[in-house]
Amino acid sequence: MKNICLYFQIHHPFFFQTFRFFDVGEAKTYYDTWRIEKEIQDAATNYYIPTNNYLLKLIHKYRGNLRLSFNISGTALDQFLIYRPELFTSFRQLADTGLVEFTSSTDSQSIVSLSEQKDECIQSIKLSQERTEYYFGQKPKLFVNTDLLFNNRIAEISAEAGYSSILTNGTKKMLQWRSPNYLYSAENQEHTLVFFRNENISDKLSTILHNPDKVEALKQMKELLAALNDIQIDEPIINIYLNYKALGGTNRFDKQRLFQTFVSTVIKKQICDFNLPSLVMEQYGPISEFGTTEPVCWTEHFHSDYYPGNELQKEAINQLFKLSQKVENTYDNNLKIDWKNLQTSDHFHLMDENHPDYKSNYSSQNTFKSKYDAFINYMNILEDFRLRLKANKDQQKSLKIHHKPRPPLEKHQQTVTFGGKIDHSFA
Amino acid sequence: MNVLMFGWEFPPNISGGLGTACYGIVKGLSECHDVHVTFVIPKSQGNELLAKKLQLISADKVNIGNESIPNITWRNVSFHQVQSKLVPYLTPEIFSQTQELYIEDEYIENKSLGIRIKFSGKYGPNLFDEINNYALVAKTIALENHFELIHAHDWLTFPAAVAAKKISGKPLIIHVHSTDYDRSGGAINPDIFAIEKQGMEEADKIIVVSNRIRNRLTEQYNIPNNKIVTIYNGIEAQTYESGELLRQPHKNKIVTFLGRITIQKGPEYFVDVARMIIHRMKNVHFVMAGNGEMRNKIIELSAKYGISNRLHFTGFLNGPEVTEMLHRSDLFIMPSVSEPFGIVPLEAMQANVPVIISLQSGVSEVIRNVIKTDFWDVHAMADAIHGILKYKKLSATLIAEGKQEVSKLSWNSPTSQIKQVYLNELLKRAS
Repeated sequence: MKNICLYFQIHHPFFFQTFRFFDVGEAKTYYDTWRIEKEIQDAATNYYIPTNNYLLKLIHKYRGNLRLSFNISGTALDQFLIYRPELFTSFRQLADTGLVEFTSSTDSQSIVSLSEQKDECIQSIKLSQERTEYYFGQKPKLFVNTDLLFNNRIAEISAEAGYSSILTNGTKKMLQWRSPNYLYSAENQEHTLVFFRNENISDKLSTILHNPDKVEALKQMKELLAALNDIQIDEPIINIYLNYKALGGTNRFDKQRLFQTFVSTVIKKQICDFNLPSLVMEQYGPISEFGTTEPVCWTEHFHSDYYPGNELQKEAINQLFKLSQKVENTYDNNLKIDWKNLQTSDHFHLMDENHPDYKSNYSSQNTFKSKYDAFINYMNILEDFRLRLKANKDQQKSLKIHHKPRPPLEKHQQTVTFGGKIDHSFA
Repeated sequence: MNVLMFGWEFPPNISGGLGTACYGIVKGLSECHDVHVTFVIPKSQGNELLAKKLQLISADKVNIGNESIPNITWRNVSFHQVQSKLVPYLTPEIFSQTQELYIEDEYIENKSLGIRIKFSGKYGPNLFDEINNYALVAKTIALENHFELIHAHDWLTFPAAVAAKKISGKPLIIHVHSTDYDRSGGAINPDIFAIEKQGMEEADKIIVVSNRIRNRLTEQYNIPNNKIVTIYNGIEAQTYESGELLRQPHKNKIVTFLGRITIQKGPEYFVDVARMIIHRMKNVHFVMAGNGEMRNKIIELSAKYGISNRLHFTGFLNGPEVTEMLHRSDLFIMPSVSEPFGIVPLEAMQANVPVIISLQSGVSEVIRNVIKTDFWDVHAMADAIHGILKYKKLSATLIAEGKQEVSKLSWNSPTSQIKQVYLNELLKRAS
């Protein structure tokens, strides 16, 4: 029997605001608080809470036949804490059914896995794992890296961080003649299983759900189900990885109807089983080896060979991680939080000309008009951050008693200072 | 097909982008084997760069006979003694020259209807008279030459082109490189507006250089949208000798403004930006190359800000000097308030210079690998300057990708589009 692993991704970055070089050293905030709040509030009200309730009903309706996974980024968890803590309860309800699994990523959806900082990367992965366990009560078994990034080095790092399996994107370019519907073992880590997102089916399902125009969509859904049916019976696992927003919004009832068609047909006609990655990795073994030195990736908004990236992205990443050592030596929590948010991959997406923000020639809605603007803005923020680090170092030196730097943030003990201190002891 | 083309200037005797654009169009068309262009300019200096198939007619060499003023002149425009100083492309030098001319004209008034008409071929206060005379000559030219189409560039030639159309009955295509709204910064000259509007209404098809101008035409001049075609300008490929572009790493960075110092080009914003940068960065120098009626005001402004030691003025630069200036620049900036197209940024990109342009320019519709800001957003502009001068990777990316992009913007595509417009007009006429 074939298995479908359905993953939903939730990610909300801390967007940066326009930060001129005149603002460097002026203690101005980096964040576009208005936009951050607007997006998370909108997402929670129109997408996550109604869809969670809907899925809960659906799970009960199909009595154990529908299983799902979620991947919630660290920055999204931070924003849940600040703006919509009830989301934890909502997701916790799903988790408590036992049919929903949570995977985990790097903390703050960071691109640290592309840098040379191995220890920091492992730390970040572990932190994310611990936080997910703390909030949802289950230890994540599958590592889903930022933007599904994968190469041999990342396989190695994930093994060191304690994961035995990793999900990445099954691009034709990387897989070539191989099918994404099998498990592979990493070339350099034979005990690490590699899951591949089925690009074709995921993208199709995502497109159908995004345009729930009735007649057309239903036809496309039937075609998709036929395609699923046509997959060879011995191909064990089809990974469908979507943005969770595909199932919500103002037109969510149309979307839900379509999704229900999908689920009920798959279950009733016994095309596939819905399964969880942790069960799949116990049931099936690797069929072959897979390895690559070039990073494989997937980004939701645009198809682009964006990793290893253009010169601007490389330069920004390079400059960012030059500060790594200095951050380690500081014990200022605000700096640590900003450091974390500086690594979020979305800032680097904006440095690519294929980003959807730049498709229209001029739109006043977007913060940046081109990748160059995004780069300049990021570097200004980085410069300000560097100055703050330096000031902090001088301050620490001038103290008579030398404090030892605190150990890395312990699980869930970090305070979220963004937008005011918030106690999260409610959980 | 034979095209009768009216222009006002032709390289190397140019004062703005119009001459360069005319040259590009004529050169591109001459490469099409079935197009023959007759180009009329008011006064030939004798040193024009003649393209292969171009027949250049100088209006002051045309014998118009002893005719009185025909009844095809502009009814609602008075051509006599318009003492407006709001004429396009005015520079202090030319202004002073034409002032002298103007005084002479006053003495020889009413004697000018001789056998030949004297043209100065320059922009100045007696421009309206010249336009009128140009229109008279156009009539003769239209009778003497064989052609199927009339193509006129910018308002100065519209009366002449309309006269030629009235005489010959051939289709008229008008090419709008700028409107008076752009040149004057909103304070338009009603006479010029009237000439422009009448020309546009008489035309069978209007070619504009950007969608910005298209919107201007539909909104301000009330021209139906389907009468307008947008054809972006191209740029002549430049070949630099290897090593010529290897810039010596200077300690001092140079930021350049290149263009007429008029309200249209936004020089005050440049000074504002310069002030912001000079107070925060060392070793950055600003250069304003060009001339214009606002130059003295700008010099006073820079003195007031106390930045005269790092803001330099070169005066008007000719072709090779412009190239030299661009080669010495580390950054080119065009903060135009309203730029119909703007060809200089493309030249700068060819010369391996990173470019900042305002979003209020037509060229921002075609190119991507530059930094675009609003002209009034001096903070964004200053930020971009700082970024480019500080981060080598950024300027390297801008240069490399910009150069590649600009190499695709040749005159081939615009001229073939223009030719298509010609064919469509002829077909429409034939059917």
